[in-house]
Amino acid sequence: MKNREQRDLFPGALEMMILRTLKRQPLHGYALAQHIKRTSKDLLQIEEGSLYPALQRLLKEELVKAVWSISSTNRRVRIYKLTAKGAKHLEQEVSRFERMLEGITRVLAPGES
Amino acid sequence: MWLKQLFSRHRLNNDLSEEIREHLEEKIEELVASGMSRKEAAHAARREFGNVTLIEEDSRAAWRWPSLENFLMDVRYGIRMLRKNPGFTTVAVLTLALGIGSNTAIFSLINAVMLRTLPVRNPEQLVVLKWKARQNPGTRNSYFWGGCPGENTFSSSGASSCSFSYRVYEQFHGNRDVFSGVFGFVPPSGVTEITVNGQTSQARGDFVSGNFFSTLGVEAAIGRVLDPLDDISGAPPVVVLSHGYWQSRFGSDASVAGKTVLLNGIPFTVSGVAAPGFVGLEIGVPRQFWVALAARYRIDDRFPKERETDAKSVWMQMMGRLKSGVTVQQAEAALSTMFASSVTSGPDVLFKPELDPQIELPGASRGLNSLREEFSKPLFVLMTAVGLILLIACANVAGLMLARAAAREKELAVRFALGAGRRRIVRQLLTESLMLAVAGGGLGILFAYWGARSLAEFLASSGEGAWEINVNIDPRMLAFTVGISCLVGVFSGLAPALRGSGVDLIPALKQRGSDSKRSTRGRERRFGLGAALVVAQVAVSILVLAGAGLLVRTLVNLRSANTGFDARNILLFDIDARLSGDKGSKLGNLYRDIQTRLAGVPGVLSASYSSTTLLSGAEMTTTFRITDALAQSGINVAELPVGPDFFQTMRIPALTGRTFLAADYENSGKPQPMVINQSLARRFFGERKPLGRLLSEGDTKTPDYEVVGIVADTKYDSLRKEVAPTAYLPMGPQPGSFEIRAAVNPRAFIPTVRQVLAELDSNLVLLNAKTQIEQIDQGLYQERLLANLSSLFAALALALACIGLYGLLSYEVTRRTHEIGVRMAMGAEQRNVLLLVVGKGIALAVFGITAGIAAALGVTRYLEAMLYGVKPIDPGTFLCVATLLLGVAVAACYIPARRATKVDPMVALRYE
Repeated sequence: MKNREQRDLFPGALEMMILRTLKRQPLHGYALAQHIKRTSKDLLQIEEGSLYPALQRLLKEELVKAVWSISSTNRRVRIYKLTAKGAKHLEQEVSRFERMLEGITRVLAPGES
Repeated sequence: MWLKQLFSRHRLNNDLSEEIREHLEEKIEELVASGMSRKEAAHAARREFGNVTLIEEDSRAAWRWPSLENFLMDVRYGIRMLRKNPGFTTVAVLTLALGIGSNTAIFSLINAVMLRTLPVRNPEQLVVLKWKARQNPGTRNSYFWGGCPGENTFSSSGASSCSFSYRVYEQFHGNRDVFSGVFGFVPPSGVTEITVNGQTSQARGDFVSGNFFSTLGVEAAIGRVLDPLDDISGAPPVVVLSHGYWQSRFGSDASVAGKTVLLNGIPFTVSGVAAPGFVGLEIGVPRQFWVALAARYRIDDRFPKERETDAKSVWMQMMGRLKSGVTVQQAEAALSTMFASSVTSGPDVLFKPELDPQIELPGASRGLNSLREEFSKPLFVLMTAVGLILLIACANVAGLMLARAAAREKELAVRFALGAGRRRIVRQLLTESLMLAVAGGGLGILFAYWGARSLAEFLASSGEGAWEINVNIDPRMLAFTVGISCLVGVFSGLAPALRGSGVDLIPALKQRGSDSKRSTRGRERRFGLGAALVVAQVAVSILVLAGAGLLVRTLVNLRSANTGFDARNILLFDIDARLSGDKGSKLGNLYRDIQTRLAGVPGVLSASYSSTTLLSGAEMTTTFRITDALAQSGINVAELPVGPDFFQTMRIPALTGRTFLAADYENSGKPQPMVINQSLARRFFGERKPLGRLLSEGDTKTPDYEVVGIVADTKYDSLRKEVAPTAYLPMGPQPGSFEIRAAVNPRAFIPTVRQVLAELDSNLVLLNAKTQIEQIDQGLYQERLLANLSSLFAALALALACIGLYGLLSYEVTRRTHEIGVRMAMGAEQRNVLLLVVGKGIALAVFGITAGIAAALGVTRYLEAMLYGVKPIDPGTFLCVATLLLGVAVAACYIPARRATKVDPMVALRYE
C-alpha cells in the first residue's frame, strides 16, 4: 500500500543528477525538473514531485543551499545552490556510479559464454 | 544544527508548501501558454507532479527525527481521541489508577517494612548473635525482647534465642578475631520517662555498649555520641538523643549538648544528637534515646543486679560487624567453639554438652525486625491480592479498548487507505494505551501515597506496640510504579492494537459497524477475546473474594473466641509510681490501697491488679519442678503475678481449693501459695491431686510454692495460642496494671479513677486507660488489617468484574442491534431477546465462577496459617462468594438487556 520506492532509479541516482545539474547553475525546483527531463531526452520518467523530498534530503546533508528570491517571471522561488561539500559528494558518487556501470556493462557484454 | 531545525519546523513546512504551490503554478502557466485550458492544465500538472500530500510528507520526513516526531504525533492524536470519549477515558484511567495505586501502596509498605536497610555504614556486614541448641538450657531467668530473627523457641524440641548472659557478652564484646566490633543492647524493662524543662513524657530507648555508635558507623549531628569511656561503671551519666526526638521535644535547640534532663527522675547530661535518619535497630519501633549499659541501674530498677552477673540469666542481645574477608560460616564456627566451651563447663553450666550449643549469625542489614516476622505473610497475601486486582484492571481496560477499537474500524480503515502502515497504526494504538496507563499511574501515585499513609496510621494506632513506619515515596517505589504503568500500558493495549490493525478495508469502509453481512470469522475471534477477558476477570474476582471471605471469618471467629474469662465491662489502666518515689514494700501497699479504694467506688463491681493484663501480647514464663522429684526435668509454664480479687474481677471460675486471700500478700515466707489452671494441673500432676503439692523454681531443695487452688483455663497473651499451663502467684511489690469490673460502660469511670489516685498521691499519673475489649482488638490488628484490606480489594474486584461484564454486554447489544431487530421483526418476544443477553451474561459468569472456584481450591491453602476457626476450603464461604458474584452478574446484565428489548425493529432494520 505504501511502497513508494517505485522509481526505476537506484537510490541516490536522483540526488546525483540534481547535484550535477546544480553544478552547472543554481536552479529552482521547477526549472530543475524541466532540465532533467529535457537533458535525459525523456528517457527517464520521473515524477516532478519526487524532486522535493530529494532536495530536502540534500538540504539536510548540507550538500545544497537554498535561498528565496524572485525569478525572472516575478515569481517567488527558492533557488538551490551547490555547496563545496556537495561538489565533493558529487565527485565521489559519480566515480562510484561509473565503476558500477562498467562492471555491469562487462557482465552484460555479449561474446562471453 | 538539527536542534535549530527542530524549532524552525513550522517555517520549514510553510516554505515547502509555498514552494510546491509555486511549482504547480509555473507548470500550469506553461501548459496554458501551450494551448491547454486552465482546467486541463491544472489536472495535467497535478498528475505529472504526483501525490502532493505524500510528497510534502516525504519531504518533511527528510528532516525528521522520525521516532520522536512520530511519538509526539501519536501522543497528540491520542490525547485528542481520549478527550473525545470522556466516559471511556475516565473509567479506564480510574480503573488503572486503582490497580496501580493499590500495588504501589502495598509495595511501599513492603519496602518500608522488609526491604530498607539500616541507615548505617555498610549494613551488609552487620550480624546479630543468636544461640541454638537441641534443648532449652537450664536458665534461671530468660528475657526475650522481640526482633530476634527466626523462631524464638524455648521448648523441648530445640531452642534458640538472641538473649545471652552477661558473661558471654563480656567474652564476645572484645572479640576481634572475626568482628571489627561487637556491641550489646537491651531495652529498659519498663517505661522510661524523660523530663525536659519540667515537662515529663514517655520515651523509648536502649541501653547500649560504649562502642554502639562507632561499630554501626553512626555519627553525631550535634555534640558527641557514646564512646567506651561512658560505658564504665561510675562514669558520669550521659544520654544521646535521636534526631527526630531532638527536633520534636527539644525544638531543634542547637545548644542542647551539655544540658541536663531527667530520666525517671535521675539527672543525665545530653552528650549529643545522633545523625538524622537513625532511630535504632528495630524497624517500626523507633528509639528516642540511648544510654550506656553501665548507667542502666540508675534508672532501671526492675532488673536485680544479681541477674547481671548470673551466668544462668540470659537477657543481653548482641550485634556485630564482621571483619572484611571473614565469611559468616567462618565466624559461626569460631564463635560456636568459644561459646560451647564457656557455657558447658565451669561452675554455672548453662547447657549440658550433649545439647550441642552453637552460635548462628543471621544477617542484620535490615535491622531487627519483629515487624517483618509478623507481617511477611500477610504482606505477601496483600501483594498477591493487589496483583490480582491489577490483572483484573488490565483485563478491564483491554476489554474496553477492544470494544473501542472495533468501533473505530472505519477510522482505521480510512487511515489505512491514506497510506498508513500497519506498524504505525499498532504503534499509535499502543501509545494511546500507554498514555492511559501513564495517566492511571500518575493518579495511582496519589492514591498510593494516600493509601500508604492510611496504612501506616492504621498500624501506628494498634496500641502499645504501636509501629511507626515511615512510608514515604522513594526512588525505588517511583521506579516500580513507572515500570508497572508501562507494563500495563503495553499489556492492555497489545491485543486491541493487533486486532485493530488487521482490518479488512472495503467492508469496514462501507459498514456502520454491524456485521451480519460479513463473513465474520475474524469478528467472532475478536469477540471471543472480549468474552475470555470477562471470564478471566470473574475468575480472578472469585479468588480475591474467597480469600477475603476466609480472612473476614477468621476475624469474626477470633473476636468471638472463648477467652476463658469475661472480657466485657473491664477497664484497664497503668500507673507510674516512680515519680512519687515509691519503691519496695511501699509500692505493694500503694497498689493494695488503690485496689481497695477502687473496689469501694459505687458502680464498680470489683477491682484488682496484675503484673500484666490478659491478652496484652505479653507473657511471663518460667520453669518449675516438683520439689519431691527434682530429678525430673521441669516444665515450662506461664506465670502471672496477680493481686487480690483477680479471679473475681476477671470472672475466672475457681474450681477447687481457694484463691488468694489478704494474708497471702502480707507474708513473704516460703512456700508461697500458688493457684494453677487446669492445663497445668493436667500436665504436671495428671491424675494425682495437685492441692498441697510443693513446687520449686530453681534447683534448691526448699520448696518455693505450694498449690492451693485450681482455676479454669484462660487465654493468657494471645487468642490464637492454645491455653498454656499457667501458674498464678500473689504479686509482690512490682509495677503492674489495674483491672476494674464495672456494671456498665467502664470508660465512664476514668475520671473517678483519676480522682482516687489524686486523693492518694498527687504525683500519681493515670496511663494507658482502655477497656479489655479494646485491648483484645488491638492485639488483633494484623487480622483486622487483613480483613479490612482484603474486603476492600474484594469489593474492588467485584466492581471491576461487574463493569467488565456490563461493558461487554453493552457493546454486544450495540453490535447486534441489527440482528435483534430482525429477530423481533420475525416474531421474537421481548422475553427471548432478554434471554439472549442475560443468557450470555450468565453463561460467562458461570464459566468464570467455575474457573475461579477451581483456582481457589488450589490456592487458598496458602492462607492456612493465618486462618482461625475456618478451613482453607470452606464450602460455606465458597458458596456465598459464588452466589454473590452471580447476583452481581445478573445486575450487570440488567441495563444492556433492557436496552436490547427496547430495540425498535424498524429502526434496527433500517441500519443497513
